Amino acid sequence: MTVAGRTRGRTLGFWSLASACAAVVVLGVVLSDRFGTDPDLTASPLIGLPVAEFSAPYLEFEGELSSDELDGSIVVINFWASWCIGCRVEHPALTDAAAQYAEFDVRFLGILHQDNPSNGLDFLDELGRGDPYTYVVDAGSRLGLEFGVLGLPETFLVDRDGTIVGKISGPISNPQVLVNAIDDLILGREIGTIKVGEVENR
Amino acid sequence: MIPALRRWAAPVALVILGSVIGIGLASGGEVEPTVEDRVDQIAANLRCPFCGGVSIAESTSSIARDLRGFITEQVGAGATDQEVYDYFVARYTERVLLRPVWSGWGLVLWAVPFVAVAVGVIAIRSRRRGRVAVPAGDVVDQLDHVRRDLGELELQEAAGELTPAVAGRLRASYLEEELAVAAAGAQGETADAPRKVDRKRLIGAGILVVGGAAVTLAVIGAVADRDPSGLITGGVFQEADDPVDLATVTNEELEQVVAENPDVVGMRLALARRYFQAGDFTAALPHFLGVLDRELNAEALASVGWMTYLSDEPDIAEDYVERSIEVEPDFPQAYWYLGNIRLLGLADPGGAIDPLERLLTYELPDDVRTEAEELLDVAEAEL
Repeated sequence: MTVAGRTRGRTLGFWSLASACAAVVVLGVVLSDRFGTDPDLTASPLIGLPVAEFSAPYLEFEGELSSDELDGSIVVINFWASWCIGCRVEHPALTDAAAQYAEFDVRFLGILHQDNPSNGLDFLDELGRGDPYTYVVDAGSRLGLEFGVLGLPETFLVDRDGTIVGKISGPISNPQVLVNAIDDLILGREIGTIKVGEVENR
Repeated sequence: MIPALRRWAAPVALVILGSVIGIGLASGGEVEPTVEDRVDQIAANLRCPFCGGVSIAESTSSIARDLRGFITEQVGAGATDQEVYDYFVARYTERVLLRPVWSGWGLVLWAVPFVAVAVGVIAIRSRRRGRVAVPAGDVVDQLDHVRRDLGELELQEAAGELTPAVAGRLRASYLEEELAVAAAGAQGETADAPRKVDRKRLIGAGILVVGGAAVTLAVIGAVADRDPSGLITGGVFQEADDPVDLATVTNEELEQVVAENPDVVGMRLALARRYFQAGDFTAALPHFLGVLDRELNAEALASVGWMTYLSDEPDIAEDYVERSIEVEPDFPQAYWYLGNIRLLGLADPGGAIDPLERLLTYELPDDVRTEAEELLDVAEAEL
């Protein structure tokens, strides 16, 4: 091979290797970008968006609750189940807050998710009901899906315009977390996602 | 550069390209899928948000069943696949997708092989262009011209028209020119030889790409249909509720597997079912209860109900079977149990009619249908 031929061979080799290196670098960047973020993502992409209209059967009586009935109120929506240990832990914080904030027209909605209504009723018989507090059943897990629930318990905060403004992920073992979030909501401050613990899945 | 690297860089790049093409071929090419196919496909491409990383299709959890029901509903109502994916992405972010997407980093990932191919093509083309820069005919003309100049110079020097100094300078410059043209000619003459080599290389490259694609297709074909509960990775059992051929496993072996994997509900249920069908209720009961400790399972509830009825506790039995129906309204066995319990255990023929009528709405083996019809006749007669 002549000098020129060898040079061209090197050029092609260089380009091949350079392309391969570039590909590896790009893949590395892509993968490291994935590694750098929390795979257990709790932040809800629904924050800042309006709550979809829904209806759900009441847990304790006949008939269905329509989301229209909540229009104009601040709503604390809690997804729970009798099998969820964290739900037991946070139950008093929710029922206490429901009583405390009733005069501010803050409505509490407990959505029994992935559980049998009779188990849900047993749970309430044992741990007590909030007053005022509305309990509904998530038939076919549609509401859980609508809210992008990742596990239990999860609590969503909805402002008077019907916009999801906050999410508390995990059991609210410290009642002050919930109180502060509701205060922030009433005062129009930003809430976002608050992670207070791990969520459970059955 | 290390020679080995230079030798292997191009073939390796080509095999990778082949693999990418193979993946593309393996994942495409479906023709007119049915609604069920589409639901399967979508469920396989979506991560079950509750189930620790497996797809909705793979998971047997009740939430996965609910999500699958939702997908079926949407597809049935005319939603496109993309609309269903968008719905999930809007609520769970792109993390819910198990396949890379054509945007953001996903797009970069997809683009890499195509960019690599484009760079390769440009490199090969520029190499060709460099090689044909000096046509062989021109070189011969130029050499003749230079040699003519040198001849004339010698004649002029001999005739005394040029001083030796000037003649020397001119000769040097002509010789330099001759050397340069000759070198360029040598380059041009070799132009045809590597072209033959190129053809060989092209064939080799083609074999690498096609071979890479074929091997990748074969590998994908071999692993795509494997049982999701299989231990191909050597890991622990996951979600082993999926169909596993248990026919060849003895009860003792199954007991051991269940003891080692206490939370794998499917295996425990299969074992309990074996004992139950063999009439060994003492062995079946703890396993059905073990299943119920872990999930609300219609079969376990109904079976426990039936065993309770056979132990002369029809009230409790009725409660279990009713809960089974609540959990899974389409488990026909439960209606058979409930009809029997109400008619024969609770002397409630009126209550037995509904479940028996419901039972008869399902496709049943002939003997079961006959028995159910007879029992219904008895219930109606006793009313």
